[in-house]
Amino acid sequence: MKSILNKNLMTLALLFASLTVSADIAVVVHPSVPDNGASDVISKVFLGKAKSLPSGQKIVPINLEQGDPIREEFNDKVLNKSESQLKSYWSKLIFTGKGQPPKDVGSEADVIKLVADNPNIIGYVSPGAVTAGVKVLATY
Amino acid sequence: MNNKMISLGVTVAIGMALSGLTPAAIVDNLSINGFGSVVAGISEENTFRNVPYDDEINFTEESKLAVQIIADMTEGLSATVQVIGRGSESFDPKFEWAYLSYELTDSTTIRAGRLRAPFYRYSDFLDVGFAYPFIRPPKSMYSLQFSTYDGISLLHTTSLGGVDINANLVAGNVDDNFFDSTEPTDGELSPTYGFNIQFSKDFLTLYTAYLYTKVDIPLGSLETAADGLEAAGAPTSATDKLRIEDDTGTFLGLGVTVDWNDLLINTEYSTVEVDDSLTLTSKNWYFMVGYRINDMLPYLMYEHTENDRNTSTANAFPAPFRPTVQAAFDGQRFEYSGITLGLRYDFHPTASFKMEYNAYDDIVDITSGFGNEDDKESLNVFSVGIDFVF
Repeated sequence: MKSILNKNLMTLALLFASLTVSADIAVVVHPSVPDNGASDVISKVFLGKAKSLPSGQKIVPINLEQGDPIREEFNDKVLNKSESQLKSYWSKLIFTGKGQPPKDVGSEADVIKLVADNPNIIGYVSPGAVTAGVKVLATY
Repeated sequence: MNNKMISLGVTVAIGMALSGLTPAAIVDNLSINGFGSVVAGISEENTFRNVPYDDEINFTEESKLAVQIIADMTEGLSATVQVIGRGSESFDPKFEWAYLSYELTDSTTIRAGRLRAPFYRYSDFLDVGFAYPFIRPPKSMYSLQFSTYDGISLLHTTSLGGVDINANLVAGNVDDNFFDSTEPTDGELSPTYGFNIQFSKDFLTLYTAYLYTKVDIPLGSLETAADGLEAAGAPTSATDKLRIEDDTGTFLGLGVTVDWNDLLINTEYSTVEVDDSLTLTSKNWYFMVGYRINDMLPYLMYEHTENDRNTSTANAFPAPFRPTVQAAFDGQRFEYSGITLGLRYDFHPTASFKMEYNAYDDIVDITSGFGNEDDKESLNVFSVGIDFVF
């Protein structure tokens, strides 16, 4: 009985592990950025509602280009909005002078390079693109 | 290195990445955006003041194009200009926004110049059709005929117990042309003070707005009538209660938005009042419900506007004048209700197609000669349009 339970627990653990591995999005920052609470404000930062991390550090988000499947995944999973909902959201801020959407960069490699070079930039890539030069703040 | 320097550094870094790391292309401190609408509408032969169409299809009245330029002067200072050309004004370019903005802190920004008066839920982006579901916000609610003021605005954002709070405090004056659909007259609202505070948490957003002003609009027909009454012996203390001269105007607005998964509910209520003048207090509200199905947003809306009857001013006149004055007040009535059935279709990430059918009913618009207490009118309007941003 006990061994069956253990077996079940192991299956469950494996299931969780595979769920973690199958994440599609890794939100990345400079290795020097502290973790404390930063992962809670990711969507706020990408929606222009927060301009700094809980630690007080100024942070600027960058996007992949429109049409990039990783961007679509990020919009869906992290921001909970479709591309047109986001466009509508940003047009409210842009045309009232209250904010500008994150700048687009061309490739995951550009995201990694910018983040690795600058502790004030936050971006997202697919987990496979993560290098030792950046820190993964959260996966989705 | 202070925050402003950091933000400059980041902008430069991103600029370099975007330009293939060529420093020559770094100086990229101008943002140019724009929006527009192409709307075609048709109604019936005779209409009331809210409907710019008749029984022939028209592509001009609600079409518009705007361009906005923001110059980022770094260190938190920026200048914004928005120029709009409206079909109803022969597309003559007009400055809708033109202001300097300075970020005092991450959460507080002060703006000065020509700004948008923050009356309603959609006031700030009234012309940006792409930013809201309908072809036009319901006119029963969005009834004030001016939208910009010259002055200052203090924007503050904060978060309290998970509730995001956005406040906008305004002070300034409005110089504009009023009563443009009945008797266009230059007037001013000076000074104007007010606030708009919005609270949002998860799927719920609430706002309240209040504005106070002094109104001066020397409406020709009204001035003539008041002069005539004085010549006939009415005291100026009474005729002053007709003229729109240094009278207190107040606006109160409330709104609730629920955006829960695919369900969208939007409702607003407002009252507009100008004391001691030949105007009636109006109460306006609408309730809209929509449901997103992929890129489609079908919606249904009910709107209503009504006036308080004014009898006290007539009673301030000597008895012989009372019937005339009372008739003048009753002639200001402007009431109706409406049902709207519409569809927004986001066929492109930066453009949406919309169609809307409005059925107005119980219309009393005495100034336009369309509907009165004994014979209320009804009217149908159909419009289609495309809204876009760039």
